[in-house]
Amino acid sequence: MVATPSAPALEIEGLEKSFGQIKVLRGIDLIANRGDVVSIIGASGSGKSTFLRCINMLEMPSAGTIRVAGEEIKTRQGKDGLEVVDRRQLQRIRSELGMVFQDFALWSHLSILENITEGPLRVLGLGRAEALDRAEALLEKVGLAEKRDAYPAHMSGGQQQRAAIARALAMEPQALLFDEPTSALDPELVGEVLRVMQLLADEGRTMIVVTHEMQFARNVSSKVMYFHQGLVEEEGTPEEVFEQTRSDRCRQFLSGG
Amino acid sequence: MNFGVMIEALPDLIGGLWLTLGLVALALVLGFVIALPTALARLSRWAPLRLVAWAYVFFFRGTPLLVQIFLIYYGLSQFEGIRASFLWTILREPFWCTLIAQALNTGAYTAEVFRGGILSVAHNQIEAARAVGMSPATTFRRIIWPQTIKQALPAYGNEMILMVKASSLASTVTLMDITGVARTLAAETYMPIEIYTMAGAIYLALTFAMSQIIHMLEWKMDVTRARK
Repeated sequence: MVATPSAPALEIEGLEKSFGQIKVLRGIDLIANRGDVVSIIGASGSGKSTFLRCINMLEMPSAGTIRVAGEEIKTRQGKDGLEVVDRRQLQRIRSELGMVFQDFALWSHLSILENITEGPLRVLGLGRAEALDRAEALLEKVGLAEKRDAYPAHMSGGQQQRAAIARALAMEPQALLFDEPTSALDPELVGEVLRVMQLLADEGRTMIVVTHEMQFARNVSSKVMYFHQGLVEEEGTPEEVFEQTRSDRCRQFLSGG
Repeated sequence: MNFGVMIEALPDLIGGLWLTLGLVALALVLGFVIALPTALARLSRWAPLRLVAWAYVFFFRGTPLLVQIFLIYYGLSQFEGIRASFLWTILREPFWCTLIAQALNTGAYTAEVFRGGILSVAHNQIEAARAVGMSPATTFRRIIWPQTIKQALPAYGNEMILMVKASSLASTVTLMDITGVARTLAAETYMPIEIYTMAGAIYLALTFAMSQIIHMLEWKMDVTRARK
């Protein structure tokens, strides 16, 4: 059950999640091969963010299996849903899944540079020099080299989100999970974050993106999934989902109805 | 006012200052050592642990420090078993009794200060730590604690200053701290105004210095202030 290079970056089967009596996810499957960019769209309350948060078990799924690079996260059935069997394995797999949050969630007491080196230093056990090199290269990539010593509170939302992307990249993850990365941004700051995400897609990174940005979903993704009431109502290439929409609900959603 | 008496009293009072400082410093260190696990126990998922921590805080925050000192100094010596045990070498000494009472007292207050600070850390900070694969211990040490102490510092500083003043209760169990020395001098000279004014001035200098240090720490930790 070790990571195998030929396995899909991310493989999810039969994922379910209930909050009490309410079934939020009712059996979701997803395969993301290396370099795939999967956009998840859908109305709020459709379960798309919950699904993303279940992938690295920030939210414990009620059922289903998750494999990252062929390695399954070990779980057992508990009385309310799945339970983690091996904390350390989960921590290691989380470190292989970079997550980008809607509200950036940069650590407020650390500078931008420290935010980016923290994971490599404390989780991956990298040496200081190597962590610094990695962080500086990433800051360059997301266009924040001159902000290395700034603190999150002194940066715009767009800058914070780019820094948060750099923090996720510093772990050299198998896949990146984006949870509505531009939803908390002022409209004029959305573009700079989407451009960085486009760059990552072009580099061949595996990305799962929960988004309301239809242009991004259409132009950048290799696959689009439309969620409705905890199920995948429609999925396919962007052309299939956006041009040859089969389900009425999805068509209605896309037309803004 | 007889300034001559005031000046003359100074060396003796400074002599008492060292005891006050030692008592406060040790009480603060021990109190901190007690407070951190107590705060975590108060937030534990395990109910018995929560209950024990709650009961400790309830008692030591809800009763006067003077009563606690008397309970330990006069109260424990009532028990034959304690007088016969090795504990007696400590518990017969007023210094150690006062220190124990002060440490337990400040530990209870500080635990509540830390608990509030821990609860004030935004959930997204912890979630981001979990998402990069940090263990709970690393998350606490690297993310939660630095933000807790920054948040808690004003209240914690306040508690430190209260401890300096509360240490004067040591004089009630024969200790010659600043207040203890002042009481003796006042009785000898019949000049309580002069003596207690000097004693008060020393406390004031002490608390002023402490508040400045705390202020400086707050300033250093405030990463959101404008830089450069």
